[in-house]
Amino acid sequence: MDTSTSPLVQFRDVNLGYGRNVVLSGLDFTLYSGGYVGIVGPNGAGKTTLLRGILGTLKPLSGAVEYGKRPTRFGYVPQAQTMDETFPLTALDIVLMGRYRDLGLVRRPARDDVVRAEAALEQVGIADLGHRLFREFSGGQRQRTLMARALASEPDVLVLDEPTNDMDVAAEHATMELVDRLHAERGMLVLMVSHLLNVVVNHVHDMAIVGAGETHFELGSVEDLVTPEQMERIYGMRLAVGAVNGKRVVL
Amino acid sequence: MTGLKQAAGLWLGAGNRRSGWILLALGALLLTPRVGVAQASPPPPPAEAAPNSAPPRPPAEAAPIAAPAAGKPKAVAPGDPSPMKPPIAPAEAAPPAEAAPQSAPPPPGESAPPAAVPGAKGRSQPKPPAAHAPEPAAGATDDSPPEPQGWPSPAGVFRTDFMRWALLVGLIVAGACSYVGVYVVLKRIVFVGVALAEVSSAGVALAMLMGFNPFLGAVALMFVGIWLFSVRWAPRRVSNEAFIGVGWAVASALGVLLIARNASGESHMHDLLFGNILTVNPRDVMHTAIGMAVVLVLHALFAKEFLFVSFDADTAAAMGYRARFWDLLLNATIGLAIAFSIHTVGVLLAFSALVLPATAALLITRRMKTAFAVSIILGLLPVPIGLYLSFARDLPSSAVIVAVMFGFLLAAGGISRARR
Repeated sequence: MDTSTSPLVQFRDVNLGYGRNVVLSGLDFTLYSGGYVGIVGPNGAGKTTLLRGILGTLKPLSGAVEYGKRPTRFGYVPQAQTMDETFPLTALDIVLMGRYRDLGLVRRPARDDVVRAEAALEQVGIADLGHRLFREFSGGQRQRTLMARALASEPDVLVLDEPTNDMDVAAEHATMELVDRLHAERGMLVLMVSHLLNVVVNHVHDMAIVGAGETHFELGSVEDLVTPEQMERIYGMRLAVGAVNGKRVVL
Repeated sequence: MTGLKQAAGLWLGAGNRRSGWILLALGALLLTPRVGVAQASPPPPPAEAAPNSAPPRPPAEAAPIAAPAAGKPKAVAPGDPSPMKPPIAPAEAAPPAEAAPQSAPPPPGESAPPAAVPGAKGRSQPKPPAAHAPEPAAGATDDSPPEPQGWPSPAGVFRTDFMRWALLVGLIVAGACSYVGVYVVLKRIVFVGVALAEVSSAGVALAMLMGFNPFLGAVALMFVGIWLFSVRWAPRRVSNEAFIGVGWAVASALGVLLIARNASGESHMHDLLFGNILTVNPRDVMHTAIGMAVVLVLHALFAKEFLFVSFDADTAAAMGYRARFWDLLLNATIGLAIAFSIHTVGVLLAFSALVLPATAALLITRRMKTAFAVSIILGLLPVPIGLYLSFARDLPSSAVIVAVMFGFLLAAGGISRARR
């Protein structure tokens, strides 16, 4: 993986888990600015635990997590379908939440914040939907709104949690194209958690694979990790790796 | 009647005829002269057993009307021979047993019996007379026009001190609770609201037993409740809702036990559960106002933090917010609003003000700011309306206010359906 840029997140022999239950152990890796990393693995392997460890919302049971910048600004994009629909919030209301961190306590969003929020909406292609209710959006529009919120926070690291869940093929393609474009334009570290291997391998540069075993974890380039042998080791079954129309396919 | 029902149903939107019936039933309940009160009302003195229409009130009657002896209206316990209704209440077409107390003038040269409170039926007044007792508002009704037959004038109803205090504290409680109630409904923590209300009422009972300020008791136990309900006791085995249910049950039982140890227990129990908004004194109002001011100031300062952690705590945490702290603070403000309401208006009205206006507002609004504003309006409006109706028809005030809130909720439901 490309180590020419500055380190942003460093794990030093970290154990992650809940209470006495260690989910991931001996994590030792570095994430660099400008990287594009997919975190993949079977369900229940610990992808979300790893993500929470990176975000700092889950304290390590042991070891140390160090950040290259203090504070490292994370722009988190949660799964769109987990958002509560009962809140009567417009897309602009939600994107403005991305500005809250810079406002500090007590202050309310000013005109400048609204301008930045509108710019973020434009960047994800839904500038005209700012005043519409979030709950009336399609899955793709919701995902874009949440991405716009993350962008409005001017992050060092964009973290996406299953960004294409419950999407049809067209929406999935459009969302991943958007993520690719944002990574290229902004040059920020992008971390994307997904269980959709075929989606991830065709977009990211590096992969962090959280395996089925108790403590298995590997971080490396897509070329190195997406091989039949590695896939069998991680998923515990024989998988074919090939190419169709220039796209990687794992079957 | 059929036409009325159809009109109400049509107004509420097609396919919502049942709501029309409910609204009409609600209205009928309020408009029907009370029946049950007669059981609790003292039998009229034979000489004063009035016919259906009350005679014009003699001038001497006016003086003690507005001013209960201690500045707070003295409610009556069941069987208490005090009259149930201040003479300012309208003379209504009612059975003689009801009409008599209204028309009973005090014997010449004697002070009238303390005015009882409409809607305080069946309650005793456990609180000692307040030191700040206002002077009898002798002139308050002296030059009042003769009582109308039927509905009293709103100005006349709210001319009395106890009604003014009730109105004030009702507005304060309803305003604050209906605001924080939007969070309660949106965060789906209605059951936490119920449980906190019970915990706070147990705190009031504890304070009454131990002899310290009930507000302190309510607030102290409320904080304990907030902490208990925020801990995830066994997240992989039992949902937190179950533990909140346990808290509610234990707090209810604790309240009953504490009240049972209190010399004047049962009346306190009734006040705690159903409230006694008509017996608040200025000190209660001041305490409630201060408590609610703290709640609203916190919300004014930290509105965006509360909104963010309520809507998306995970993202707030990822962005560096101490989401758990903000969530706890938000819950604490909700708990404070409940705790400061319990002692003055009781569990029923406090909880209703928390849930009903917010639910109605969220049904008919499409923006957060509007939802807050409409919730406050739908919380405030039922207070004067409910107090007026309870006075005019001698019904329990809190229950009538809740009924009016429910009426607004039904209307909001109708509007929401009609828009779809």
